[in-house]
Amino acid sequence: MASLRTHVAKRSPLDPWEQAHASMALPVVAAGIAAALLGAAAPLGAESQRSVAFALGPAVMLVTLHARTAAYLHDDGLAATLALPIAAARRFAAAQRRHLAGLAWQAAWGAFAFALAGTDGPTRMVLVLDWLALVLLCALVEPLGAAASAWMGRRVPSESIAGQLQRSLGGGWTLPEAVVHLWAPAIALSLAAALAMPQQLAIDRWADAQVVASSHLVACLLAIAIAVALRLVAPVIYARGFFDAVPWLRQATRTLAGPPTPQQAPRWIAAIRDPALRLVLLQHQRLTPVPMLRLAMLVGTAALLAFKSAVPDLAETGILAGLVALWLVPATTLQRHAETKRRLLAPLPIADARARAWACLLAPVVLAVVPVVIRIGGAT
Amino acid sequence: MTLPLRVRGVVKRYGSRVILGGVQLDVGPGELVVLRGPNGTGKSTLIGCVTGQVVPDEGTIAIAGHDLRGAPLEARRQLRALAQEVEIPPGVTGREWLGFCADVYGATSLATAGDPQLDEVIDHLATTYSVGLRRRLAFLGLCLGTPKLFVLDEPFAGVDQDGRRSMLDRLRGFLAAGAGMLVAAHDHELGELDTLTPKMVDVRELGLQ
Repeated sequence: MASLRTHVAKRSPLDPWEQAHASMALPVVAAGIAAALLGAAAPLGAESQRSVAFALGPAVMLVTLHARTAAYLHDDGLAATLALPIAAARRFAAAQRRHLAGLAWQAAWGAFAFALAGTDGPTRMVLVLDWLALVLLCALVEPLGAAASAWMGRRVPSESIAGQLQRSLGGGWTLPEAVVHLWAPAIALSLAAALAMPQQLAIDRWADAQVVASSHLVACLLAIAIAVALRLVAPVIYARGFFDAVPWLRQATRTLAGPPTPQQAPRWIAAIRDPALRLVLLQHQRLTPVPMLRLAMLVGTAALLAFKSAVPDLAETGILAGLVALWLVPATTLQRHAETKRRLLAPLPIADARARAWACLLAPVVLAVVPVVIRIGGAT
Repeated sequence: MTLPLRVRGVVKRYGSRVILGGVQLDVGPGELVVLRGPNGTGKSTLIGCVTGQVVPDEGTIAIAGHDLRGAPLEARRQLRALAQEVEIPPGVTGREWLGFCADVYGATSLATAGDPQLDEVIDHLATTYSVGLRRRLAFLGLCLGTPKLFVLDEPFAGVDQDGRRSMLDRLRGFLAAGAGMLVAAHDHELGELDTLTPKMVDVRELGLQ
């Protein structure tokens, strides 16, 4: 029994429900784009590059914010276990483990991208240190965004300031209780970026061999102290709102955050005569957010890289790899339900369509990657 | 005596559609209330409200005297909810699931399931179980600790005769110990539940519009 208890305690009860792959690809793409933009700024000099990095860091973090913080309030496991007496503090701890894992993944790719883009050793070091300062502050402050979302995601008296805020910021297109999820995490990230500034400026001054004034050091310590305080208070705020916020968020997601009738299937899918293949591709289309945009980005980027005059560099190749992942990762959702579907379809008089479906999904990848590989291979 | 379940003036709307229109419902100690009604009349919504999966627009719900919103954790400690579709997470054996439930409900885990069919596969991954066996495992997890209220949505769906008998025996024991039960069931499940002398309630008479 004791070992079983240890096993359960070590492993979050929510872990098996989570979609672990969802947040893996986006950080790679974001880092790749950041490296390309920073690389483009390199001819302007080290200082300009640092300025660009200063703005790019929070932008990269913003792009992947939802992917790494979804475990606090959005993941399916939360709803599946909502009737269980699992304390919000334990849920917060489980969510934070996933948050920090996502952040570490983002931090590693970001550091790689920034190091790649730096023109020389000292610039590389400053870019990476600035980035890591932001990562540290994000680790401390981002949980506050989830906590505020839980706190403001409850039903509050409509005449209260919180109630008025809920209504006024939503524009009436979704539940007032769900509106906070649109802005609170981003505000928390902005706060993290603001609190990281003293650290980043100190790093820059140190790198430029300038004296860091004692008042500046005090500002750095004060910023860290504020961030630590926010981190300590976040689980308390989260606990007060969690049990109400999750059902409201689910209700908003299921009912009002979009019409129950999905978009018409594209004509090319409707034209497929093989019903099993049509089903897989239709599911992929519906379960993948902005599928055509992903496809267009993949094929468009590949075309750009294949036909531009210079041979694609490492950052550009990284972007392409990330876009391939962005296109393919949603298929893992289908893969997870493959066994259920196999049982469902087994008695039907149709052939297994898995191989053909994978061929269809991989075709654009082959189309995009092969010319770039040939291009790089030809140059070497 | 504290009621296992006390529902007062529960209103739930989805957009402009009123699903529950001021539901009042008590489930007393040792009482089994069976919710009946055609599909789409709000049985699942009411069950969702009682299990905390849905937040009502108005009204209060108290489980064993604990307000579900005011004291969410205390209320949930008294509650055992079996959903219509049992979700045992992948990668967990039957024994580990029971250990998890024991941990969550602050109880001692069972050395054996006390169910020959389950005991045989208790160390197998729960995802390899049949639908009925998964449901029995989930139900067994709910029997740990000292529950005050069971909320069961179609409890016998997919469960064979032996399994139903075993579940009924356990339910009978909990009723005798003073637990209350709220069950959503269709007509074909009423035969078994009749042996527990239930109180039949049509959801449409609970303030539905």
